[in-house]
Amino acid sequence: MSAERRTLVTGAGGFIGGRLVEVMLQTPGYDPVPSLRRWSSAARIGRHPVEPVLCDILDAARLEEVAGTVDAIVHSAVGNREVTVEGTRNVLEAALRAGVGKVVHLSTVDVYGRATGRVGEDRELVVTDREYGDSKIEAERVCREYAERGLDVVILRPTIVYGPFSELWTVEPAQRLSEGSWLLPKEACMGTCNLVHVDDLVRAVLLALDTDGVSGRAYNVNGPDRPTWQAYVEALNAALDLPPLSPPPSTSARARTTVVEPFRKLVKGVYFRFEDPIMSIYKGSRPARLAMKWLQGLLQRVPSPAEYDLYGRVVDFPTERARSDLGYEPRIGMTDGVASSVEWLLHEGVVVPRE
Amino acid sequence: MNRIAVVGCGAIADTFHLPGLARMPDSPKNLVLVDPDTGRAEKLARRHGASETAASHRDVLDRIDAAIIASPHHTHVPIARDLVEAGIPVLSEKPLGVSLEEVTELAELAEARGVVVAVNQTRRFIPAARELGKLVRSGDLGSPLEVEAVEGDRFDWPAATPSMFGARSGGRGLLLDIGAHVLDLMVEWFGPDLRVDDYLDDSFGGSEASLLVRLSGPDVSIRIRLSWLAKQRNEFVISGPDGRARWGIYDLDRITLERPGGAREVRRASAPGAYSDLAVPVLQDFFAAVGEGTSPAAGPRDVLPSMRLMEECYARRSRFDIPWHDFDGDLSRVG
Repeated sequence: MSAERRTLVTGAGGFIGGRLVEVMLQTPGYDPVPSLRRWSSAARIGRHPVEPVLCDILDAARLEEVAGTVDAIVHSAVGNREVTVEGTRNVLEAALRAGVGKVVHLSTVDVYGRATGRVGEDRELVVTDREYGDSKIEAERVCREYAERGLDVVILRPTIVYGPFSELWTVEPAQRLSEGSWLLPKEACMGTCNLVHVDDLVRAVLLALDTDGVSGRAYNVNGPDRPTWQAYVEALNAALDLPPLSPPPSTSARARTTVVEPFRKLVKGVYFRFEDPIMSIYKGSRPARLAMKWLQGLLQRVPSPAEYDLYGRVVDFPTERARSDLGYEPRIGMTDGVASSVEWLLHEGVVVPRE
Repeated sequence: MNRIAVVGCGAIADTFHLPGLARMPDSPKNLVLVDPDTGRAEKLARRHGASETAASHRDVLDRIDAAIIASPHHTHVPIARDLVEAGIPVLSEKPLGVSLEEVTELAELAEARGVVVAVNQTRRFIPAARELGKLVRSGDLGSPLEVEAVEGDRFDWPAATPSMFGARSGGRGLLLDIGAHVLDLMVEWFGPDLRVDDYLDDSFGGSEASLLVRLSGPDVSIRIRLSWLAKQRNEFVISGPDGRARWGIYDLDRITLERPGGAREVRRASAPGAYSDLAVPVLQDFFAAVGEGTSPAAGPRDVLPSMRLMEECYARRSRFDIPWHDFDGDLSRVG
């Protein structure tokens, strides 16, 4: 690439958007413009001498103003259904109007629902009862609509994205392991963990940005290994230098899930409706804080039915299409990826090493 | 003192000073909210019942009795200077300034004009922190002492401007934020002669979001680990040959004392429940200094030692070894 391409990164305060900005800043040819909904999410990217822009993707006018200053957009912002679907529409509309040359839209393999087996990009997209995957299906439809209207937009469907700063697949399992509260029996975790390191995903994004003639197409983005979930968790546990896992017998673990699940739904519902008063009680009263922490710990420890479903499902998301069209090949295997993740976890004090 | 200006209408004004002013026994009757973003000033004025707004503190010098400065860090001293020169007492957010030089000049100016300048070093008002200070001074834990202060969480402060981050921060972030509180406590407990032995952070030219400071002084060594990136233990531990004291920073009313014979909690009655409750004592301290001539809990001279430490940290900053930050750079295509 001859000149630096100014690229707006939506969701730059998040795990993937934040890493993308960091990588662009150290890769010749890129000039990232991090976009944030709130300044409070600027701490990570603010470590660099960048000037983020404040832009709520539900604000179409503001988006159009910002899109007018860039050559490309990577859309990694995510939220509730409105943000994911209408926000994506706003991003693409702004891109089309401003003449932005390329948009990379980050979707997810959750668009395939609870698929099993070998799941290529032509597999039917399946609506489930989960807002995240379902709204990403709608967002993909919006992408295809704009591709037909002439916008150059590429869809990436990453799998389980882990690595430093991944709350969901690095921080959370590591914390559960270090607290001795990984309570899933081994036989429940024999499904496929389609791990992709965040740097491999970023590699795919950069390749997609620089590939012409693939507008409207979708690509699975997976890592090089297909470990079981048990193998991933054991690798993480070993890298954290923790004692071997000793989960409860399968029947009692399942029983706990059955008992706790209705309670979990109730707590979620109450928290969703009364977040502000609950947080003010949390901050103002020590007994309430201790009680809430206990409850939160319990709900985190006891696996949900969705976890059983995920950890037990045997599924592969092949990346041949990304290889042939984009030239993508994942380079970071589980061993290296887990090692650098744990190095980060310990450095940042997310988990405290055993004395 | 009925006419108070709040200069800077960001999150700290909205969540701390303005609710605090409203809860004071003699809450000031006329509030003027000042912010270059006048829309923001008007929004807060409606929310908190302020009578007037202005775009600049210079527009209101003739009609205020005192001012609270809650603007971006680098503007504290320039604004305070204007106010002090007009004879108006000032309560400034921490850090009072961004360099030792400007804070020293402000201290001299305030003394020359006889105008009160107080700094919101909130932690000086926390009963648990006071208990720790007493314990340190009593020598009960023996000597030498070791201190470990670990504090932080994923940054979630509802910042209204980007002044603390990236290029706009002047490359100074977390240390001026949480660091200003922690270093102030260390100076209060161990005196002004602490020195910086080591300072590491994760700045790549912007605002650091993770840092490590090692300090030492007569009979004390201190390790401070702070983060804006991940939830920490949020605990201060002071250890000596004769015992150990622990303070969980959200427990404003208690510390735990561990002795060879066992552990016990030391509690202070009638402590505030949350940090935001500390606004009232902070404001009362300032108003007493103005009205009754008492010394504020923290004036410009009191924060010079912690300002010096922060400046020394930045002067010798080096980056953590964080290899996961480096991208392998391999963008070659296959196929």
